Amino acid sequence: MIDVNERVDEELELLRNWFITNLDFNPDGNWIRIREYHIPSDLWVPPVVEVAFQIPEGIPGQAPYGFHVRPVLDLTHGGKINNYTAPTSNPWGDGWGTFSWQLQEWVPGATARDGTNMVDFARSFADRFREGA
Amino acid sequence: MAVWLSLDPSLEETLLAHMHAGAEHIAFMSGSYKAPDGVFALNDLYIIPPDEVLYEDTHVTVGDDHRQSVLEWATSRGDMLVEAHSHGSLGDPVAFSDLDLRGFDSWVPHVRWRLGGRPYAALVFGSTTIDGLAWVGPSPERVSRLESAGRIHKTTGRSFARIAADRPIGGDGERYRRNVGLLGTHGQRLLGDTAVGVVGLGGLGSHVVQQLAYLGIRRFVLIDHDEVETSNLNRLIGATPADIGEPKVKIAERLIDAIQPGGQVRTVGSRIDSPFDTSLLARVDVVFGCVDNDSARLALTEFTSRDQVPYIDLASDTGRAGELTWFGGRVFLASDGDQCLSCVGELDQTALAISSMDPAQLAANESIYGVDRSMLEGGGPMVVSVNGVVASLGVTEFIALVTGFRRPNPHVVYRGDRGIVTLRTDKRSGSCYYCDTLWRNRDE
Repeated sequence: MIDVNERVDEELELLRNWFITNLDFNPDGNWIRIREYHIPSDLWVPPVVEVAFQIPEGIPGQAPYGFHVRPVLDLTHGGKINNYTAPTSNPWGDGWGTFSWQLQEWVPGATARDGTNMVDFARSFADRFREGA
Repeated sequence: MAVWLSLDPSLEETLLAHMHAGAEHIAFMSGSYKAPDGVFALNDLYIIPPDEVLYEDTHVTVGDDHRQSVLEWATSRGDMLVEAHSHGSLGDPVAFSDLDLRGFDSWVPHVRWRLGGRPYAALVFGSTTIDGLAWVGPSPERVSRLESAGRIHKTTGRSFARIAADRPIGGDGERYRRNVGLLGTHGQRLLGDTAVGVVGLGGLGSHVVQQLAYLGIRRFVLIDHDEVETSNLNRLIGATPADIGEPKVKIAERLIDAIQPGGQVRTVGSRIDSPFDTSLLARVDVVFGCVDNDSARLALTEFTSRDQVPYIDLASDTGRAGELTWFGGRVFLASDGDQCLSCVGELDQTALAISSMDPAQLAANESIYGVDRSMLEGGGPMVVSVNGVVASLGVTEFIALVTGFRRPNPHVVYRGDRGIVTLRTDKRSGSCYYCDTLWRNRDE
């Protein structure tokens, strides 16, 4: 890209404030890992997973897209998971599954706090998990 | 052609504090002139103490002793000079007064003679705005900006506009007589003084550079990484079968040279979203984006917002809606930090996401959604006339932006299948990183 995007730093700070010590950052590709993400145990196996996603290089003009989950997920009652593929990998190694996912509306503001941001994106994973298959 | 001033960061605070200290003040800067970029690199400052400024009826000046000292100061360094004075509480947007302009008629030739013919420039500071003129050749040119440590202070351009309004077009008068009939001498002068960056020299960009050259634009920065292919020959203006394999920037450069011999054309064979010397593009007055993907559009939006350069984005496309085939395009103007492609929702987020995926991520995405056929086919149908209409609409908005002959339309949509052109009034929701943070915060 043309220049270093200082918005990435701003988004990272917000994520760190929200997820405190539960978050790792890999600057090679702006990857984020949340070590423990609790998901509905009546729908998914296992109930606690790692999730990983990228802050897009083009943020905020470019919306975030997709997230990874480890271990590879199963539905509690079996069946196919929609918009999901496994196995995949990322900077934290192999054994991940990938969800195709985006926020319904991405309306970023002048600062990361002003509009839709990466914290909103990370919190929205819970919506996807509540959908089940 | 416009020039710009690059001020050593260590001097900026002192200069601005002096110029905004209330009353009318005077300072000089010295440095070197870097052709062909048109940059005055200023690295030293000579402050005239306020109690030694001479206040006359309608203006301020310096005594002969200071004039002599300043000339010796510059001569001893082998430098050129830039003078600066403030208009104190007089209104913004600032411009040189009639008295200032008349004073230059005698002062500038004298100081340039004393400094061995080196270029000279003058700045005037209002409360919140600045303006400037530079003498590189015999006639004054517009100073487009003062830049220091990445901070940009754009000039109002009002002083040059006043001069341009009074100047004949000279030897080019007959050539531009029919332009002047619509745009006026003043407008034609402003066009001739404008430097334009064109990113993407394909079906749209080649039309754009041809029209700009005919308009009288003589200074270009052209960026494209691509080479001419056989399939381009249905619409690439200036290209012939003998050009297959040639860089597209070279075809555009040749076209401009044929229309504007002696023009200044800088070419860059890089992708806009890959590292290259962006300082070339920062020095133009307007950027045309004639690219075929939203990743490049986003990069151009970020870049032009950061450097406060008006951005005219052109796009043409075809598609199907049921049984109907539609075709057309659009012109989008982002200037003054009012709106951009991002905040009015003109960027395709799916395309952006796919363009940033690595091969493994693409494979994962394709395992979910399948392979997008359009990606395999390498571009949809496109004909020369549709690109020509979109380019013409874009260049017309450019003329409006530069000359002020009418207010430019920020968003023009062409539907070729219906034979109509419509104007859109976009409303952005809330604040915008590119408009409010990158563009507007630069002067703060």
